[in-house]
Amino acid sequence: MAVKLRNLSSPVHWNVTAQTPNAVAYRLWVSYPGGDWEMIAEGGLADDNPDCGSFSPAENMQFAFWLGVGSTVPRSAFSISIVLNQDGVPLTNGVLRERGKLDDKGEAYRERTVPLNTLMS
Amino acid sequence: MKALTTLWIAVLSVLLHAQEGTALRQQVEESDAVGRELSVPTIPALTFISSDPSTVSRPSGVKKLAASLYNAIDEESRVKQGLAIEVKLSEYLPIAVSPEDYRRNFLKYVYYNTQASLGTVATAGDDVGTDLGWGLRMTLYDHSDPMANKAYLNEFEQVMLRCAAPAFPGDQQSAEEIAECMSGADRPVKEDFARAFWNAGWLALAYAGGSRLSGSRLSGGTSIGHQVWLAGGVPLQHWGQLNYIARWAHQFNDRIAHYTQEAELGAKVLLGGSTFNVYGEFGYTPLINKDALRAVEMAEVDEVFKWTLGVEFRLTTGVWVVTGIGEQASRIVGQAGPQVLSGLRFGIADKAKLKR
Repeated sequence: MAVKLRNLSSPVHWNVTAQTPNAVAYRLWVSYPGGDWEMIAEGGLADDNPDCGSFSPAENMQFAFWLGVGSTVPRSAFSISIVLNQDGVPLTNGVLRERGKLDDKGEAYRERTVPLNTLMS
Repeated sequence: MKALTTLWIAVLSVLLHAQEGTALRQQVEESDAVGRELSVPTIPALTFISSDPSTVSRPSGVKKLAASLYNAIDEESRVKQGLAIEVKLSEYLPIAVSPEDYRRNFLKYVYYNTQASLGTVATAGDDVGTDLGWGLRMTLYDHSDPMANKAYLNEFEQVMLRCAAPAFPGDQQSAEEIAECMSGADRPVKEDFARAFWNAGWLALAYAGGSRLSGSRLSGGTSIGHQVWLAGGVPLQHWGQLNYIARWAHQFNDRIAHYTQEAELGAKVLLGGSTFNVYGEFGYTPLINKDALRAVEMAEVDEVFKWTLGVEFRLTTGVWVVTGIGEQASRIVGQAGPQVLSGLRFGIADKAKLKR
C-alpha cells in the first residue's frame, strides 16, 4: 500500500521505535525514479546514534527497510514501527509496523518496500 | 592439587552412576534435592497442585486463550483434568514496553516479566474430583537479563547487521547463511556476558492458590490453600553469589487430611564462576501450626533442617553436574544422616537467559 506524501517540498522524516523490549537492527533505503537504491541509515536502537532522520520526497519514489529483531526469549512477540511524517504529521499509511513472533532462536528478519506518492493509488 | 583430585573423584562418581540407567534415572529424579536452583517455581499453579503435564499450553492472543479455557470445560460443565496453561500478561494487554522502558521503568519491567498460570489435576484418591490451581510469577529485577543491558543489545544488533542485513532491498541472504554467521558471531558476545554477569543480583516473587472441585464442578470448590515464594540472589564480589528463598505455605495435606502451615528458609552460597562452583546450601522448614497437629495421626511435626556441601560444573546450558555430601532430611523419610549425593541440576527456564 502506497504512502501518501503531503507535499514535495518538505522533507520526509523517519523514526524507528520498538513497542517490545528487543534488540532491533535496521537498514533503510530510498530510490528515486530512474535511480538505484541509496542507503540512508543503518544502526540499532541500542547504539548511541539517533534513530531518526529525513530524506527528500519525490513523486513515485520508493522507501525500503530491513529489520533484524532479536531476543534471548525465543518465540516471544515483537512489535517494531517505522513512522514517516512530514511537517510533524504522520503520513497516510506512513506507520509501517512489523509484528510477529520470534523464531526458535529468538530472531526475526523483515524487509518491505513501499512506494511514496502525492496521490493515493 | 587436593581440590583437583576431589573434583575428579566427584566427576567419576557421577559418570559411574551414569552407566547404570536406573541409578541415573533415580539421581535425576532426586536432582531437586541434590542441588536446587533456589528460585520461585517456573509455573506456580502446577507446582502447587503437584501436576507435571507433558505439555503446557501457551496460547498467544485473547482468542486462543478463550478457546483454551472453553475447551477446558466439558459439555456437563465439569473441568477437565490435565489442564496446563501459562500466559504472559504483556501478550494480552496493549501496553508498549520499549527497550528503554525495559531498562529504566521498574513497573514496565515487572509487567513484562509477569506470567499467570492455571492447571488442573485429578484429586489424590478421587478420580472424579479435580484440584484446580492458579498462580502468578513475576521477576522484580534481574541484572543477569541481557535484554536489560544496553551494551549487550548493541553488540547483538551489530551482529545482526553484519550477518543478516542485505546490501540493498531484495538481496537477502539464505536462512542457512544467516544462521551460520549468527551462530559464530554471537557466541563470544553471549559467553562474555555470561562470564561477566553470572552472579548478578535478581529478585522474583510467586504466588499460587488452589481449590478442590467436588465432582470436577466449578460450583463445588473448597480451598486447598495458598503458597507464596520470594527468591533472589546477590553478588559476592566477582567470585561468588548468595541465593536465598523464603516460602510460606498454608495447604491441605492429603496424607494427614489436615491443613499444614509451614515456612521455608533456604540459602545457597556459590563460589566460583559461570561454569564451575563450590557450593554450600541449607534449608530450614519449620511447621508453624505443629501444636494443632500433634494429636493428628501420621503428622510429622519435627522441624526440618537440611544441608549440602559440594561442587557443580556446567555440562551444557541449564544443566549442571552436581556432587557433594549432605543431609536430605524430610518429614516423610525422617533423618537419613550425611550421605554422598550426586546427580544433575536443571536451571529453570527464566534463568537460562542465554540459550539462543
